[in-house]
Amino acid sequence: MEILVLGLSHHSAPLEVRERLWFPAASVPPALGRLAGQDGIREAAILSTCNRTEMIAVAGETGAGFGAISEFLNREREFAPEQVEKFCYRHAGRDAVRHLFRVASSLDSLVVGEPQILGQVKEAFALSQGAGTAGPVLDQLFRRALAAAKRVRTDTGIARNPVSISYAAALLARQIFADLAECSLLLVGTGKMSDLAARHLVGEGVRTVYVASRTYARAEEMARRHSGAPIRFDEFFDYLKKVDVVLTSTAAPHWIVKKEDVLGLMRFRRGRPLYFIDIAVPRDVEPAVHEIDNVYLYDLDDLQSVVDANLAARRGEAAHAESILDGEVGSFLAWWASRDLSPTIVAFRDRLHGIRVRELERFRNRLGPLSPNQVEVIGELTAAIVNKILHFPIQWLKRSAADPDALRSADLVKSLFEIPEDRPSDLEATRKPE
Amino acid sequence: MIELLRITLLLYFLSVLVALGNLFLRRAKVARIPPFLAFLGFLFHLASLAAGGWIEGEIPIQSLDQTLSFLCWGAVLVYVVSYYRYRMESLNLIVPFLVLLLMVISNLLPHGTLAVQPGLRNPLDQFHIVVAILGVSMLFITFATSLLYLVLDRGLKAKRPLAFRLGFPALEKCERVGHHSLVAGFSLLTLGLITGAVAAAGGGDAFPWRREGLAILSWVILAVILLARLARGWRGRKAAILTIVAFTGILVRMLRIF
Repeated sequence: MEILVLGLSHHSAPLEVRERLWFPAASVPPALGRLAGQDGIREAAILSTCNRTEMIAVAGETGAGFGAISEFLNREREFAPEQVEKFCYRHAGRDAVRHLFRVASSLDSLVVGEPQILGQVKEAFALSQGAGTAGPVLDQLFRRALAAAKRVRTDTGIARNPVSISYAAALLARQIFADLAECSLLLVGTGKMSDLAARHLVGEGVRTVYVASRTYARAEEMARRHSGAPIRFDEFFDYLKKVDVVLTSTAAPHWIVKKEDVLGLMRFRRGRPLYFIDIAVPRDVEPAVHEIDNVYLYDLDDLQSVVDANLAARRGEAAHAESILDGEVGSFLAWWASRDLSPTIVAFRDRLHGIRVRELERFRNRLGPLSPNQVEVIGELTAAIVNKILHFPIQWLKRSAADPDALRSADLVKSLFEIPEDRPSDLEATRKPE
Repeated sequence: MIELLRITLLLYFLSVLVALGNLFLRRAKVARIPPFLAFLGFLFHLASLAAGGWIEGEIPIQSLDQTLSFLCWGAVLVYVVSYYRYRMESLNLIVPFLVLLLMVISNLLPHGTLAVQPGLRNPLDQFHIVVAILGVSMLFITFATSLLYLVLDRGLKAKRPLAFRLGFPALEKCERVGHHSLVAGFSLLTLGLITGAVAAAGGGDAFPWRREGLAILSWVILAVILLARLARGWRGRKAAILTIVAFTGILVRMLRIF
């Protein structure tokens, strides 16, 4: 039995190809039914996002399993085997496990560390559970992948720093002001991006919002969205004396805030810092404003370079994340190997209990007349002794499951206790006459 | 006593080491270790000071090494309290490091040879020294936050904000904590200076202007910073630089370098 992943992502296929293989959430359950119905496929899940579509399956045999998935794609989306060859990647066994763990941890994402993928993997798991195509193996695989992803998020800096311009602008405010709830925000201009940045700032705690726009109705509308107050455009300069964060995004062809103006108003601010976010093109605030003490000005390019630095930092953290995944993948594979060992463990247990039952039968007559209660107690006593004896070798077997030659440990136990391969267990043999 | 001091030094050293390591690790749980280690060190330090005082039968501020040790003890106390009050993890590195440095210097000094002042037996004299030292202890926090402020401001002005990477506090928080510690430290320092002047006058000596010139100058700088802040809200980079200069002046005076 093998775990398989066959799919494509932004790494392997262009958008037009990814579009073709995209499965909307509603279409996943019936598709899963058809995929799991393919010959040789025992369990199946489909992860489909805007950047990737992957079939995750448990198959009896690797080659046949990939063949079945490929056939499924051909039938579902007329995606020919040659195209699968060209655009898709295949992973089996350890590689497949590692791949899924990396995807869930957002190490394989376009923007490393982005948070959405965790939810998408969770959804793919829920859909396969709902469709009844997730068996014990995929259940373990997904649970462990999600747990690993959470560990990566909390233990590494992979998702720590903002990588979108609007969010970076908002978080910069946190580096300047001690408590954003005490801060007020002035929006000058009402573009889509300033709307987004304002949303982030309000999300970070800013409570007071003023909106100035050349069109008063737009200021009103934007103010309503952020529970703020609209002000007239010609008033905005007076507000610079009392607000803390100023977000400008007007279409003005020239600077609307100049250095000498800001120098003049700093007298009224009693040293309180003033933070300008200028996302207008052409810019609204004279760059020299940044030279004034306690005034900080970030324009689009500055924010972009902050984002770039954060992205680089995330890539640096990825190495740490990979080492966490090494451990998590190892622990999943140990579980997987212990499943391979379970027939041996069952046979071992049956063998010893079989001996116990037979010997009890043999000595039964020599024990003399016994009450049913006494028979039960003797049965429990002998079972307890056998279980105690079994405990340590079974633990040893389970521990050795992590080794590459786990099966050799199983063979050792088999020859020690003369457990033949694939024979009906002793216990069953002794039960039959009953 | 020597053993107590060794354990103290070891704990301060470990505190600095863990804080330095966490600069790269950035684990919230690890950040709680340096203040804890420093607090343990503080307890051993207290025991060592008490033992010293007990043996010599007087407050252990009679010689330069004792004074520095007492100053460090006060600084660690203020640091531990500030950490739990303001949760500023960045203090973990600066204050313990400075303390460790001064402790090493004070341990290198031969004990008792550099008497602070001959015949420091007058209770007012002793009060003056203790209060001034506690004032300076508080200024350790002012110094640390001013330093942090400069680093953060530089990062923001260079458009390479550091806080994302190293988990620094907000600029304004540094400024506020610095201001609080400055008010407290400056008040004690002023009380120390006044009682010192009174003690000198009471002993019939003129105030040692020449010897205390640097201390007075530093005090004046701090007074100006504080007044400008209270009257006009003056703060920022220049205030932080001046604070650092004044603190360095006071430390130099205490080390008797100048």
